[in-house]
Order: sequence, then C-alpha cells, then structure tokens
Amino acid sequence: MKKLIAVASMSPWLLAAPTVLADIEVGVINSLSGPFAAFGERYQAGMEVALEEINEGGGVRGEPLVLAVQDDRSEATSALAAIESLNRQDVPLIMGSYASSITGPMAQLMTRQEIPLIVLGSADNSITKPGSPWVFRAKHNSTIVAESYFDYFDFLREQDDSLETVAMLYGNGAWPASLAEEGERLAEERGYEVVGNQSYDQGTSDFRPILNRFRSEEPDLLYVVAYAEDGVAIARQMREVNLNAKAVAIDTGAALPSFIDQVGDLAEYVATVVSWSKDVQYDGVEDLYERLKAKTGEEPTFYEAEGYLALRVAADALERADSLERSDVRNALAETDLDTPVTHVVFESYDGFQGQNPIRSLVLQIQDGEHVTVFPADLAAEEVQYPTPVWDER
Amino acid sequence: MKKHYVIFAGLVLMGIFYPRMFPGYLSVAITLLLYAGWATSWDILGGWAGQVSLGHASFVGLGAYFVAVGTSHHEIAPWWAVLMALFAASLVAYLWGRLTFKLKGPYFTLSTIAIAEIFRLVAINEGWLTGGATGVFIMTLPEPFGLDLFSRQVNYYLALAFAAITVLVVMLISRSKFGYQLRAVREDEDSAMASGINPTTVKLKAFMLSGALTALGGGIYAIFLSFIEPHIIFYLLLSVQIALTAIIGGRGTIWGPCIGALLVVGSGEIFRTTFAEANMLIYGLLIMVVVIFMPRGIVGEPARYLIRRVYAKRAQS
Amino acid sequence: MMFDYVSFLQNLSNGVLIGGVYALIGVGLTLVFGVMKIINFAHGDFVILGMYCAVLLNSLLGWDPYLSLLVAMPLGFMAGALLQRLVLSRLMEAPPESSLLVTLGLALVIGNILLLTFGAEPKSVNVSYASSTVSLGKVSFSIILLLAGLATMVVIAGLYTVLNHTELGRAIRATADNRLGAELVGINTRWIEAVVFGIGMALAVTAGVVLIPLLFATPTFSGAIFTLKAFVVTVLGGLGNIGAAIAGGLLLGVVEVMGASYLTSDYRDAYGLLVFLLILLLRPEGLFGKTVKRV
Repeated sequence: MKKLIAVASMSPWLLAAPTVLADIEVGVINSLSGPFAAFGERYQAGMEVALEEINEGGGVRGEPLVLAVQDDRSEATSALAAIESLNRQDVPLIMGSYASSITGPMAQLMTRQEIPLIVLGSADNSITKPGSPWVFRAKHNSTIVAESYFDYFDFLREQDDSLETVAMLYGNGAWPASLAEEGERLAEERGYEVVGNQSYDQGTSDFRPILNRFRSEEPDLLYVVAYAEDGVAIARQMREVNLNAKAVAIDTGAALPSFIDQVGDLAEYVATVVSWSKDVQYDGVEDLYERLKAKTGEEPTFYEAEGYLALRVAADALERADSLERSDVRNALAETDLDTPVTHVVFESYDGFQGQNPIRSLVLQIQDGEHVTVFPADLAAEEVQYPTPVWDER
Repeated sequence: MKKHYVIFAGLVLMGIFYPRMFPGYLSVAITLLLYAGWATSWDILGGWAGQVSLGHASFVGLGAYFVAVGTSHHEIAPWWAVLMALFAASLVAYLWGRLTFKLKGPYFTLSTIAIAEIFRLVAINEGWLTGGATGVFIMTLPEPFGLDLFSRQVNYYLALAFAAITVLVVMLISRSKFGYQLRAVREDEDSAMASGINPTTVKLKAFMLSGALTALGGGIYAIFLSFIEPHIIFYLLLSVQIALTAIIGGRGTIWGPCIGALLVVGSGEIFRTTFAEANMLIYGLLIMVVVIFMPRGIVGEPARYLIRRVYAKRAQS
Repeated sequence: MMFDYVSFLQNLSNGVLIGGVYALIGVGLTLVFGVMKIINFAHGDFVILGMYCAVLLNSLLGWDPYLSLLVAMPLGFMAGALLQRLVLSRLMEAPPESSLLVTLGLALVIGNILLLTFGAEPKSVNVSYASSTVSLGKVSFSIILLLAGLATMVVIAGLYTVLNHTELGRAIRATADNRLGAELVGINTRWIEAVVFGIGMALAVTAGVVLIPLLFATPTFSGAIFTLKAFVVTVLGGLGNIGAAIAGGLLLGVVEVMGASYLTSDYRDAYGLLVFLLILLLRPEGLFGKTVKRV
C-alpha cells in the first residue's frame, strides 16, 4: 500500500515525462495521516481490492486504471489543496473523504469547479442535501441509518407491543449529532417516548453519570451513537452500572470486529447498522469478503466495502461515459445503475436529497461473538435475538 | 524602517501577480496568507505584548461563525457580518483580558486554553445560535460589483488583503508610542508602571486589536471553506498552529510570522505530497529542529546575531 | 421529590474515583513544571505510550496490564531522562516558549511513530474484570477505577517519600525553589532535571497502563485530550505543587461527574473549566498554590 501511495504521489513528475501507457487516472483524497487515518486506511484497502479486480478484468475503456492518491492530513485546507493538485493532473473525477468537515468544503469547491465527486466515507446528510449535480454518494446518510434503526425497533415492537420508551446517548461530533437529530425526529414520528437524551464531548471516558440517569428512567430501547473507543467504554460501563434495556443499538462503535474482541460477552445482543456485511444475501459477497480479508489480513468491515464500492462506481461511470470529459463523466454517474456485492447503486433525487443512492442499510446483531445480519428480513442471515436479558441473568 | 515599507510594497506587488503566474496553486497560497495574517495578529499580543495565547481559535471561530451564520441563517451581507465580528471580537478580547491579565506567564497561557475550550463547547451545544455540531454551509453569497466571492481568485485577494493589513498594522505599531509601551510591558511590567504606563490598558488594547484582526481572517476562512464545523474551527490545535507559526518565524518581529507561515504551511504541503503517512512525523521533527537550533525563530535568530555584532563592533572601536 | 441519597453517594464516589485518575495524569506534569518551569505538551502522548506498552506486552506475552508496569515505569523513566538530556537541555538559554514548542513537536513525533508502527486502529486490552464492581451497601465501585485510585495513592506516597525523605528529594526541591542557589551549594541541577523529567514521564506512562483496561489507545487522537485534562488538573490545584495536583484532580472529577449527573452532560468538560476560571479569578496561583509576593 505504501508503495502505491508513493507512486501516486510521484505521479505529477511521471506525467511530465512523455507517457507511453495511456493510463486512466482517478483522483483520491483520503485521510492517511492525522486522527482519521484509522478509517482512511480501511477505505484505501477497499479501493485497492476494487482496483485489482477492475484491472484484472481489462481495466477501463481498455486502459489500466490508476489511482492518484493524495493525503488530506485529516484537515480541510489540505484537501482543498489536493483538489487543485489533482485538477492540474486533469483527473476525470475525485473520490473523498472521510470526515464531513473535509468532505463538505470539497463538495462546495468541486461543484464550483465542475469536477465530479464520489463521496468516500462521509455520511452526513448535509453533503447530499441539498447536494449538487456534481456530488454523488453511493453509501448511506444520517436519515437512512436512523430510519434503519427505527424500522428495526418497529419490527421488534410488532413482537412486543410494550416497547415505548427510548434513551439516546451520542457524541457531539457531526455524525453522532446528526444521527441523534434524525433519531429524535423519528421517535416522535413513530410514537416512541424519549426519556433520556444526552450528548458527551469526544474524548470522554466516563459515562457513568449518564448511564446512571438512564437506569432510573428504565428505557425499553437504548439508541447510542459512539465511535469505537467510546462504544467500548459505554458497553463496559452499562454492565457496571447495571443499566438494562430490551434492545440496545450502538452505532459505528459496535460495527467493528474489535468491539467484540474488546467487550467480549457484554457485546451480545447489541445491534448496529452498517452498509455492508459479510453474510448479507447479495451475489458475490463471499468472494469479496475473502479478497478484502486477504488484502488487510484482518476481518473486513463496511469501511473497506465502501471504499471498494466507491471505486467500482467510478470505474463503471468512466466505462460508460461518452468521453473522459468531466461533464460526460458526470452524466454517466447520474445514470448509474450498478449491481455490486456491496449494494445496488442508482443516484436519485428525493426528499431534498440529490445524487444520493437510496441504499438499503443492514441491521447486524452480535450473536455468539459474531456480527450477523438480522434485518431487513429478506437480506437477513439469522433471526433476531430478543429481548436482551437483564445483566444479572446473563 | 523605510526598507520595511519597500519590502512590504514589493511583496504585495508580487502577491498581486501570483495568481497569474501560478493559477493552479491558489488554495495553498490562500491557506498560507491566512496563517501569515493570523500569526501576525497573534504576535501583537503574543510577541509585542509578550502574552502567549493558545486560544486564538476562538477569534477565528467568532469571525467564521458571524459570516457563516449571518449569511446563511439571517441573510446578513458578509461585509456587515465581518464588521459585527470585529466588534464582537474586540468586546470578547476586552472581557477576556479583564478576566485573565492578572495571570502571569504560563498561567495566562493555560487560562486561554480553558476559555477557548468553553467557546468550542458553546458552539457545539447551542445549535439555535450556531447550527450546532453538524456545522453550517455557506450556499449563496451576494455578488458585490459582480464579484463571485466564492471564486478562488477573490478568496486569494481577500486573504492577501488580510495578510497585508495585519503586517501594515504591525509596522505602524512598531514605531509608534504604543509599540514602545508594548515592549516596555513585555520586558518588565513593574518598570513600565514606574514610567507611567498602565500595563493592563496596554495589554488590553493589544488583545483587542489582535482578536479583531484574527476574526477578520476567520471571516475570510469561512468563505474559503464555505462549510464550517465547530470542532474544526474552535479546535485547540488551530490555536496552537497559529502560535506555532508566529513563534517559529520569530516573535516580536515584523516579518517573523510571515516567514513562519511560509515554513509551516509550505513544508506541510510539500511533506503531504512527498512523505505520505510519515508527513506529520517529519513535520514534528522539523518543528523540534528549528526550535532547538533557532530558539528565537528564523527571523529572530539572525536579527539577534546582527545586533550583537553591531554592539561588539561599537565596543571594539 | 425526595432527594436520592444513594445515587448522590454513588455519583460522589464515582467523581472521586475519576478524579483519582485525573490526579495521576496531572501529577507528573506538575512535578516537571515545578522543577523545570516548562509546560510539557507531550504529557498526554506519554500517557498513550504507556497504553501501547501494556497493549504490546499483553498481545505478545499475554501479560496482565498491571504487570506491564514493571517494564513500562523504568522504560518511561529512562526515556524521559534521555529526552531531557538530548533535547530539552539544549533549551536552557532559549525563551520559555521554546520548551512548549519542542514538546508540541515531540507530541507530533510520538503520535505519528505510534501511528506508523501500530496502525491507526484503536487498541485495548480486554481483561475479565473490566466491568466488575464491588459493593458497599447500595453504592458500587468499579474495580478498575479502584485499582487506578490505589495506583495513584501508591505513586503519590512514593513520590512524597522520595521528595521529603531522601537526599535526591532535597536536591529536587532545592532546584525547584532556587536553581542558582542549588547550583551554588553543589547540586548538579542538570542531572536533577533529567531525573525529574524521567519521573514525570514514568508517572504519565503509569497513568496510561492503569487506564488501558478502561480505555482505548489511539495514536494521534487522545494524546491532546489527556494533555488538556492534565493542564486543568494542575492549574486547578496550583502549578508545581504535588499535593495540590491531587486536590485539583479530585475536584475536577467530582465537579464533572456531579455536573453531568445533575445538570446536563453536554457541558461536562465546561464545568471543570468554569470552576477553573472561578479559581483563577479568586486565587490566581491556584486553589492551593503559594501566593507569590512581588519582589
């Protein structure tokens, strides 16, 4: 991987020399250093798997596809400089980045400069709502994810009509906050009573005060949005303060395999929403899982899958475009109708969104130390385990 | 002193023609000019008055939020929003200084971190005021004289003007009575007081000027990014970056902060594209090496050397 | 509504225990400041180094995190002393902000070396007793936090003994009080400073090891957070005063937990900072700091 980045970052000089191979270069702006590098590495691995697949299948328009990767150092100003740098290389489109604080300014600049952007990681609603004709997102957004959670809650309520109250706990970062906003809206819309609603500053490691408050409210449902570090601390401290709920959902944090390693038995019954899982009932999932795993040497997650997805979408549009002119590539992107082992991709305008794939998110539940897909029913691999037993009986 | 004005005029002239020569490198240049301006503003308080602040992101944030929230939530034209931000920033600096100027040295520095953190939490939690944790987009801006404020060229000239104004202010200060008062307070507050200077008033003036100018840059920054999030804009690391830029270049010098910006932003950009994942490591090492071998900054160190030589010659003759 | 004494006691005890952790993080910083008058921006990254040490020993040799203290503390001491001799000692003549900048650079270097060696993925050690509690009446205490509190007490007691009852401690205190005077009576202050920075780093590393069963280690993210907490703790008590740092840590823990329990958790960090500002206003040298007379 390092070699690839080194080559990619040298490419301005390589381009200056007379090029023999007419490679097609795609721009990538990814967080490879700084606080978001954990996610950047995973997206990178996913893109590389897609790149190998595409080039083994004959490349794009008969030419090998090449990634021009630029690091954004997990900050917006570097990403903007990277756009200019890729613009000089005349790339037909750019994929990027993880955080909304970086992707937001990117989307604004690229819309004005009319460069197609395929969103790599950022799931914030604000990127595609109102969006722009130049910005495309194949993965989910805050509304889709929050709706998946509440669809899942509704599904549980069909079995047990005593489900009424929900307590919400979320970090004060952009993604948790937007998911909490959507959650609050949906709770009201679907008739759940919000009995606790607390946020915490990122870097907090003691959740006992909040969890103790929740315990006295005895919520039926727990809706938690937390990054990996916080998710583990929350799960451990829930046991510690003896906070019980009939169903527990922890977004983002609980989706990583490391969550199960770190939390152990306490992770059982926890549900989490992802865009992809290794046991989802799509064609080619097993093969993709094996290749992602071979690439990283670790258990792959939806992050790698989303990286893979973004490059597949890019390659598909470049193949179909009338030319490699950006406006043609944009038109091709807008007409995308692609089946991948990650999800089906079309870009639509609906409910104020633009260039958004109305992707079906999956609800995973942790059962016997594994993430298994339990909802929606037609994509599920296993039955939901419900209700969550109280701690003292586990 | 005259030579400083000549250098200034020459640099501004070069700045004006830069976009023609390097039209594909505007984003880096804008970032560099913003940091040059912020570091120069910071230096009025940190270098000339000797009060090291690690809370200047608050002023960047004030400027940025007035412009972003003003234009997108209240339909206030950005220039009025900037004006309001300048006023607000001066007021904040006044109260802030009143509260903390009795603290000395590291105590003052740490208190600035605390206050800036409170600003960050308010910006995140008071969504009705700021748009909250999910941030604010600037989607449309008015077009004065047909200028598209979003275009990189316009951003660039705004940033150039900002950096030029701050340097000009510092050049004027350096030879004014106020400048001498600042230096007197920096060197020894008690002696300054003995010679009839009120240190608190002098420091307050410096803080207000420094804060207001930083907010001006913050307003331009908001337009440049056209999407701001409280975590990024009120972040401790931004404060640190601003102070670092000024100190590496040379505190209390006219050109130090600009040289610092050239080094910090320039090397950051070069490292980003050449060292891949290791770029921040190299950047950290660079900071350490510069500070160890040039503790008074890149401009400060040779200046000290020259002054010493002059004195040595005088002593010989 | 009746006042709920049980949950009040529960929150209070949680606050005290969390405060113990804060105190442990802050005490090394305050010691270094007291003697060397430098603000160490890499302190939080030293904490992270301790975490990775425990993670590494656990994954390679299967050691319990607390056992890795045996390796981490001496290593931390040596690394700190070496850093002082090789890097910080070069700044003796430089303006005071230089040390701030150098430690800032050091923080970047440490974080990114960790990033390149361990990857960006958060790492932790899962121990079986991670969420176990012991109960006293209706109030329960987290085992991990109790152990952290115990570690804090042992460390503080050790430090206190060294500072007050040994020749080395006398030399350290003399250097802190008056560097020149200490040199005049024949104390090798350069050596003392290396020892002090070594102790400071060993303390930070200890905090990291003690925290790892509770938290995750991330290379470039949490360092600054720990540094910030350490700053608040030390200033709350009064910079350079070890007993005060303990009090500052406990105060911070109680204020944060009480605020989050009875007000709103959104502003959890602000409660500590507000108390901090209040104390600054009333007592600029910190709650327990010596009032410095103007000479």
